Amino acid sequence: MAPSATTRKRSRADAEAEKPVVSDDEFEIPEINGDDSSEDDDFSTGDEQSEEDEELSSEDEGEDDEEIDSDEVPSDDEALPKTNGEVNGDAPTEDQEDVADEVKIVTGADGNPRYIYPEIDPVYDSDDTDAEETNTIGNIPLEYYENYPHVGYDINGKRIMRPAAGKALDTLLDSIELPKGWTGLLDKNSGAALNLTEEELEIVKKLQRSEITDDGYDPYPDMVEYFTNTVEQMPLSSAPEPKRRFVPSKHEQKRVMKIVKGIREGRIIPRKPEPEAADEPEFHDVWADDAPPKPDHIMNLPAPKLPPPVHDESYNPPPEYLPSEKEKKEWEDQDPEDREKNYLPRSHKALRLVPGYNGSTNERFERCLDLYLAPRVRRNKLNIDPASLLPSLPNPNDLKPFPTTCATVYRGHEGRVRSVAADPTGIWVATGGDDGTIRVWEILTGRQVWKLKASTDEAVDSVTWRPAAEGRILAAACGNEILLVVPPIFDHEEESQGKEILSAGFGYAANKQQGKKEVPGTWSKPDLNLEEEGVVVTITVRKTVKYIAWHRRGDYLVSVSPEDVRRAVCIHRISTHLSQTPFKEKSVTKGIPQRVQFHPSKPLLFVATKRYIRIYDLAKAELSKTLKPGARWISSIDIHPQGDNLIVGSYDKRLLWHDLDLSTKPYRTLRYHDKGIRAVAFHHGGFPLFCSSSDDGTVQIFHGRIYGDLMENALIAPLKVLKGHRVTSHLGVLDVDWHPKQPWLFSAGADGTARLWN
Amino acid sequence: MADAMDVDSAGPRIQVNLTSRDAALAVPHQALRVSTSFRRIDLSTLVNHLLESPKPIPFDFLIDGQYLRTSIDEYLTAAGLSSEKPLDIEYVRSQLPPTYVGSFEQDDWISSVHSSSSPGAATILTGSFNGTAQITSLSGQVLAKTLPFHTQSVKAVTWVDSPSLASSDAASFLTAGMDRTINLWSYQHSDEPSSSTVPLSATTAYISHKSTINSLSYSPSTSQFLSASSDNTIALWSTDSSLLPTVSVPQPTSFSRKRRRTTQKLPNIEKKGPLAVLTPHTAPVSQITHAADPTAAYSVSWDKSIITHDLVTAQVVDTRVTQHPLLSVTLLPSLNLIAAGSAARHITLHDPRASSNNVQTAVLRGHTNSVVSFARSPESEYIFASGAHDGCVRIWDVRGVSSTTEDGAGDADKSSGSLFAIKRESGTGKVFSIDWSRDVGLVSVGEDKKIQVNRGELMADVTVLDQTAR
Repeated sequence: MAPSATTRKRSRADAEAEKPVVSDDEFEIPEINGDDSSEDDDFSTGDEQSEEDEELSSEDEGEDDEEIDSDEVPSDDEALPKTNGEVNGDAPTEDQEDVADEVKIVTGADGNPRYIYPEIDPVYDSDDTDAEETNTIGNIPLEYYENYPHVGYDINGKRIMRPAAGKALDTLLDSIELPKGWTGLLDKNSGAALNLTEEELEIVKKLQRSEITDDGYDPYPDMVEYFTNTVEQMPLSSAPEPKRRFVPSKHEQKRVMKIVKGIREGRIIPRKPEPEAADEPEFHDVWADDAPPKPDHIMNLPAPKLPPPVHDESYNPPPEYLPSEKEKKEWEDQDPEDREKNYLPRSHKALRLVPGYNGSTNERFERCLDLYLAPRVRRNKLNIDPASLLPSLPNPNDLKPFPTTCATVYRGHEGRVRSVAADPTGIWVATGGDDGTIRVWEILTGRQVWKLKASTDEAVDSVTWRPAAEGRILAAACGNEILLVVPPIFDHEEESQGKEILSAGFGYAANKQQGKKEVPGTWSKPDLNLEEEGVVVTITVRKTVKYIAWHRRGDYLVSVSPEDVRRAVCIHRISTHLSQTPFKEKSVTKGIPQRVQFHPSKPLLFVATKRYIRIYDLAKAELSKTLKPGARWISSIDIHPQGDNLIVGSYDKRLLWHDLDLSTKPYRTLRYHDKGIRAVAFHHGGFPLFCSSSDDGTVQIFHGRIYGDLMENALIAPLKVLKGHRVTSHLGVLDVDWHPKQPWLFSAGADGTARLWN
Repeated sequence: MADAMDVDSAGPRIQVNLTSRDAALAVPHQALRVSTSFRRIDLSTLVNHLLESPKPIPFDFLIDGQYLRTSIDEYLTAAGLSSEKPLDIEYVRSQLPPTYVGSFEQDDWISSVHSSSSPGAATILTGSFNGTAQITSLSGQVLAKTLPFHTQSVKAVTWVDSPSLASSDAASFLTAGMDRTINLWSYQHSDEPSSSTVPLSATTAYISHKSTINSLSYSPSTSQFLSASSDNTIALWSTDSSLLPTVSVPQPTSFSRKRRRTTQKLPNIEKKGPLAVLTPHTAPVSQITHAADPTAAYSVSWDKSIITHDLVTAQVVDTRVTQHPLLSVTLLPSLNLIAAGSAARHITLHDPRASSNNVQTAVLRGHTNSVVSFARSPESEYIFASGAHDGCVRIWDVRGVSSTTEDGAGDADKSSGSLFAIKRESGTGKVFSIDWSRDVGLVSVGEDKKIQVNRGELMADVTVLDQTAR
């Protein structure tokens, strides 16, 4: 297309040698445009366009049509560059033909020849980037030419006429039907409407879709799976494990051998002690100024200098703040109270040179004095002597007399002495032991005055004297027999009295017993040997009798056989030779009875089972009270002669004092023994004493005074621990009894002796 | 000092006034200046020198009721006295420490002893727990033995007529014991005890008591004797049987007859009742002794009281109640003191006269068990011995006891140590009874079945004595 066009145009350029083709065209157009009659302008332009259209269509109709189809407006625009291109495009063609011939020598305005070279045709087909840059009017704002028909001047000083702005109808049409790529802007350089090209629109669309504007960029390429999560059946490599994986490294061995060799030769000393620290101090004066001045270096940032102090309280006040000698003296002469300020400004070179405050000790002392001498809060300090918190126990010396030493040892029993009982007259003491003997001793001399071999295989578990005033009768439990003995150590009168008391019931019992089928106790005369020894009656019960106790009047005797479940407690009546069991069933006593005692004045029977003490009213035949001492296994009880207090000894080391008026719980618990308590006893002869004996081999004496005033509780004070009995096979003192009148105590030990303590 | 005689000795001096209660030993009253380093031996030599006695007599020195056992200087320091003030020193004949002479063993515990002091016929009468009494010569030979009239232990024996070579009369003695009877026995003393000694037979039985008879006391001047029993009574008897009512033996029951089958062969003897029965005590009467006046007697009992009896009227003259059960009593006649041994292991001294308002004047402590027997020294009225259940016989000097204050009852500070303590040669065992006579010595019997004789006269060597005393 170009060659044909250029040839045509060149011909025109030839015709108008000194005028550029384009300018010529443009010049003409502004002229037309210069007419204010818009119709003319429109018409003329239309003419020319049609002319050109005709020309174009004549030469290359297809292409032209194509352009017109695509866009109308650009066709207009293209017209201009094309014309320019045509002007420029002439030169190459001419170069190709003959360059020298093309140079025209023209006499310029100054009269000098002027070489006019043919324009070089760069042979750019469609690239019009250069053309866009072309500024024909210079860098002058278009506003300046608003009132003029031209927009600038060309190189030849001729006016460049304003391009045709189109007719009003065109603009209307344009405004109604916005062409593709319309922006509504005017090209700054050319003044034409600035429309976007097809490519630019495509780019804008891609930007709107947030797409990469490059052609051929595929944002979603097909994924190439380099690695998969599926485990392949076969390994990637079938190569066997290399040997080096499991053979020790020769290299390492070499290195180890090197070290070993070094150690052997002594070059390497393993665990070499660290060298002693040098004598030089480990610290240094970080404040010292002996560090060399650092060279002036860009990396060396010296610390900022502190601003100079501005008041006299500073460590380094300015010299004008420092007092003069006279002022110093004046300050020192003043009374401390009158001083305006309590310090003198002093100058120190550095903060670290400021000495410590020399008045700190004084000040602290003054402060302490203040606190001490002028306390702000009155503290109510409790001056309590710890000793005063202890319960006030009377001095044992004030509670004399009580037994303190062993006065007599009654030796003779082979085996343990199980039981001890003092005669009501206070001259004799009876003991019963494991050797089956009952022995009576003179109290002070310790002389055995009478002995009865009650049994060869059974132990005498309990001996007790009949408490009545007349008739000296000793009851002893040996096996399942209770022997009622009148020992032949008494006056004939007393002896026969006792014998009569015991024998009186023989006839009575014989009559009574016939009707009964089952009697708890069988009363019988002893065999001749025993009778000669003084035994008057034997009562045979079912099981071994462990304990017997008399009623205060001496007519009743109660026995305990813990093995007999149904008839553990038996009451025997001397005058009628009758035995009865107050508790027919075991459930009545609820437990195995351990000890039984009559109340000293009331018709009450105390039955101590392992855990509880039940008090039965014998007159009403009912349970009157149950005491719960809290002991695990009661070993013994004794009732105070006045009858309102009870002591309980238990195998779990406790001695419990019960006040029957207070509670069913113990009033006092005394835990002084190391082992289980075997026996407890009140003094029944007027001394406020009681004692407990234990398997730890000791007897402990307590003072237990009861006041007539009901408001006052009993006074209980430990007095003395009597030691002397040997502990034999874990058994200590098995029984204790008090002298009926003196503050003397008898104890029966497992070591085969009984002792008197006074 | 002009009037003070200086005794040649070095060191600081002190003026002493030597006095004696014994007129025979009195030295002329003069002030002496002696060295404070003097000890008992030096003072004794000094007194002997002053007395110019041919044979030196060992003396003991009492300063303010205390025996001088150290040097005077140490005594002054201990007592806080100044050596400027004159010191009053009383000197007494030294009580010689009794030395062990011998022991005679019997076959049972011996409960009581009484020695006869008649010259040439010194014998020891002992009562045994086996119910017999024995007469032992000083050489240990059994001169006589009684038949078992006592069915139970003999608890008390006493001579009525001591055997003597001079009198041809049969000696007699009393025994009493647990079987509640007192038996009178006659005994013909002979120097040559034949091996086949016929057992003595009782002549009279005195029956009144209902319990063990603990003590007998015979008064020769009135021929009466007293018995103290555990049935709280005291009975007054006379050796003159005609004065006593005859009593019938209580009928032994069949029961007791069988038991006493062995005793049936004993001959029947006269049985007498008491002249009077005194019942002021409320507890067993443990011991009784006649007063200096034979119509009075002192008895002690477990009821803690010392009762003075008028035997003529059988009335109680005076009652002193102490703090402890009393087990023994003896009279120190010249001092008007009675010593009572208690179950609380001490001896109290009392003035029994009604005018005295002190319950007790002194407490002697030292025994470790009940004090059950006393014996007066035959030589000094100030000295007596006590036997106790701790197996120890102690000799006390009343002068060595500081005088008590007005409220002296139970004042422990007034206690005093004994002069000597005699242990049982056999080791342990209770001493039940002691007796002390000039010819026999200090006799003690006890649980070890032995009669132990100690004498103080055998040793007169002053130096040895002094060592022992220290």
